[in-house]
Amino acid sequence: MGRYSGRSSRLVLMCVVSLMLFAVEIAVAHVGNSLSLASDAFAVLSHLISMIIGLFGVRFSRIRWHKANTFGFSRADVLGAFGNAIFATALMFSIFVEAIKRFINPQKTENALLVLIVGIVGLFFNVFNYVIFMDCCYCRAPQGDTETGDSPNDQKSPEEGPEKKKQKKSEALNIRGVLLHVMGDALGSVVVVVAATIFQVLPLENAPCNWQCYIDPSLTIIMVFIILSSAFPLIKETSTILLQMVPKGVNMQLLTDRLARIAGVSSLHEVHVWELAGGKNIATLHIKCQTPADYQDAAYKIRTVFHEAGIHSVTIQPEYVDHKTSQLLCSSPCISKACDSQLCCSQREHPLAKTNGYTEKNDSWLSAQHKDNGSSKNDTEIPIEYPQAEDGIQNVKNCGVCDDKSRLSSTRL
Amino acid sequence: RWWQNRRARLLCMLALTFLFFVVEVVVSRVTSSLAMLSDSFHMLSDVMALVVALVAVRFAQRTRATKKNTFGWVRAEVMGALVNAVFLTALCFTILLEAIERFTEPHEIQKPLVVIGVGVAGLIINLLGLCLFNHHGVGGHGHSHGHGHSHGGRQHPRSGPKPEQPPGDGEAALHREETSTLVENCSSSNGVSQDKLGDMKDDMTDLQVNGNAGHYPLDVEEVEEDSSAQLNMRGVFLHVFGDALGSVIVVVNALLFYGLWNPCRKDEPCFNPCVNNHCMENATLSQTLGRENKSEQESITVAGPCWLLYLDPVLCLIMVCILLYTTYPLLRESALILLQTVPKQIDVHSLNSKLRTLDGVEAVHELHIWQLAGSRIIGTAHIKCPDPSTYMMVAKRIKEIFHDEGIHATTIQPEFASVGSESGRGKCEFPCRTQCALKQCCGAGEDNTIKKTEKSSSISISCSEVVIEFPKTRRTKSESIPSVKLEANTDQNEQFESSL
Repeated sequence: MGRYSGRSSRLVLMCVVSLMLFAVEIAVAHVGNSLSLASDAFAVLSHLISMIIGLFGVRFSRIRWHKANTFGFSRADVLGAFGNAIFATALMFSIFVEAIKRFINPQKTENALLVLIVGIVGLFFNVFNYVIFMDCCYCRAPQGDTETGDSPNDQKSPEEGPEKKKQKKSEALNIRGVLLHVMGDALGSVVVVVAATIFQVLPLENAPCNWQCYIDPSLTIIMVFIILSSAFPLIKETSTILLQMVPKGVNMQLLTDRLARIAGVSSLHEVHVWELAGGKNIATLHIKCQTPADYQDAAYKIRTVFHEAGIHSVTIQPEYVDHKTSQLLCSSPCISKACDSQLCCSQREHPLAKTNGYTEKNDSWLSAQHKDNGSSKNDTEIPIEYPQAEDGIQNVKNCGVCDDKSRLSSTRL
Repeated sequence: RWWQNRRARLLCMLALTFLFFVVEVVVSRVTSSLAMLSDSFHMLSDVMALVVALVAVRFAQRTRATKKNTFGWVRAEVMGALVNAVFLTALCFTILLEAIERFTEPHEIQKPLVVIGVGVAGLIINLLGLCLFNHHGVGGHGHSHGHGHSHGGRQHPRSGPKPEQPPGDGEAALHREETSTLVENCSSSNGVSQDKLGDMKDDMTDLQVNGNAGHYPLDVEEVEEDSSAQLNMRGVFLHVFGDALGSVIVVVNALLFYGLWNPCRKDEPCFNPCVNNHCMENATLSQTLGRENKSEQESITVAGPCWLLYLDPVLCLIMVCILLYTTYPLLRESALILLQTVPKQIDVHSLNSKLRTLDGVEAVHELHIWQLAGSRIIGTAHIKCPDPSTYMMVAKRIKEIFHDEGIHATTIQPEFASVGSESGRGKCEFPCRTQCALKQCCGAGEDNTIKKTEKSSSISISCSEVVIEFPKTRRTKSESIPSVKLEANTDQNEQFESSL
């Protein structure tokens, strides 16, 4: 991508400058005994970390497939942003604790002039940061810019109407978020400048602390809240992705309703939708069809439904209906029932499984079973699918293998 | 036993730590010792770590799929572990900054006795926590407690007429039924009578009782539980460990200080060579000496050995190193799970080749293996076969291959190549439309042969880079299969099943 070289070198430059600024700010904060400068320094540090993550993210995201990760490393950005937000929260927590200590035990800011100068330098740095990254990252949808959360899709392909509008709206939101963020950081530097100015203008040489000494901690607490207010949404967003939650724009109920209505689909189960990173949604599901012909037909329609929902990587497993199996249960979970605990979702419950208006033979029994879902302690047994055909016995490995593998995995991790 | 329950342990430690925090704050106000106040806030960070772990445990108990999360919340514990690890790293960082500050401006410890007392109390509490959360212990105690999501459905062994039922039979029964559901001979299912079904049910039971599958489901449950819960508890353990180290340092420092330090008492003239800067040393020395009467020079007390003041930051640095060294593996492990990496024990290449060498499998693509949490590994693959009946034959084999690797939750998508194509590799028969290429999880710009209206012959990039072969034949529409639609597909009797 053409943006790579320009952006990467800018990132490196900003990283170096940030590092120096952080060191200077922390040293001066210690010398001048100014807590707000220390909190500004931590804000600079967290930006530095996010830039480093962005650098690595750009490098990693070009790996499409790797032995260690079949999805490539596009999630590294998200994870990095999450880690950075947690780190910033922890740092802010320690600053908050310091501020409380200063309320109990007020101290004055010395060397106010030095603190003032460094505060102004920090303010200019913030503006500089914004300017440097504006054309490449902030105005167009940034990719992998961890400061603004996930990277929205930056390809303006001709989409259908609602998609385009959604994209524009998300871009506008993105820009607004970025502006807010930048303003928040600038406000931090402003706070430093204000506190230092007060001490410079009204110096407290050897007098005991008066009201002036309380300005620093109070403004610091305000700054902590500002920074936290930008960290928390980021935490929420990234944890939505990391926890494999259903992505924000997708309504599972609606989706499964639509899917169940497709001709050829008797029922569906094990529907999973999740977001890999940056707008890439992935879905898997199992459907029950009567015949393979049904499956072929239904597959296309299923994909259409998913496509309209914004999910473009779909894996569909067809299972063929026989009257013994309940409509809602997987006909082919793992090869043995004993592996149930290692399935991603237990077969004893019926998550989001739907039938297609197909009247079940054992309707009443089924509904009774579903009522039992609330308490998993009940003795709901999976209806054993009974053998009928005479196919030869192949590979009789019982789930001792499951067990061994799982034990191995837990120790080798 | 209550203490074997994760939640109970966390709650207990939480209560203890919070209590101690309150006590420390009060004592610090009474003795107006700032050092104690800062130590008390370390306890507060411990409290926060415990809260995070508790929340994660609460969440992770809901393993059922919900509207918001189709996988259930099992991953919450891995996230909790990551949060704790990052939190710990941040804590180490602040301690590092403090230690550097102390190097430039060493402080004396005021009232070492009080510090010793509180330090010892904190150490005791932390040691208690260490015993509680010793993560080697977590794995062993799983059996006795009935957790919310342990298998309630485990059948009681029937000491019945068929204890000698060879386990092969039961398994074979399972396999037979597997194959039959995949094979579309629905007609054969009609002939099975009820009592035969009952017999088979017994077989299942006995299978579960005999062999190593007897105690089996609970064991697997516990092992699996612990594997992801282990991460969470490790995070808490490391936190408490860090706190314990901190308490040890505080106690050691205060003891040494109390024993060896020669303090400057207020009433005596005193010179403290340690506290000032090097640059200012001479000035202060001359100042101090100047102020004194020359005659009293011999009775000036010099404050105690200076290296004592540097002991604190040095010990802190050592502690930071130890903590970071022990936190890094936890950080790495939880990060790798969250990044959807392939679990370490699985070799994707060999799995891919095993699948490809099966008869009837022409190509394998979009093979993805990832770990949800603990031992729940999930796999998806698209298998290209010449026709549906071939697929039926290999489907079970495919599942077995996955099962052998420890991947039990799989979604296999069969794709049927068009008639007369030999190479058939790498291209998805069912990708999304071409403009969605960038939004697909992997691969871009694939040929879309299913679409009835448009035919796009864009360049195809194979989904899986392992496969390096160029498809020679142009893709045509897949074989036209008469679409047999199900009648009576009306939505009247739609049963809405939801696990909410």
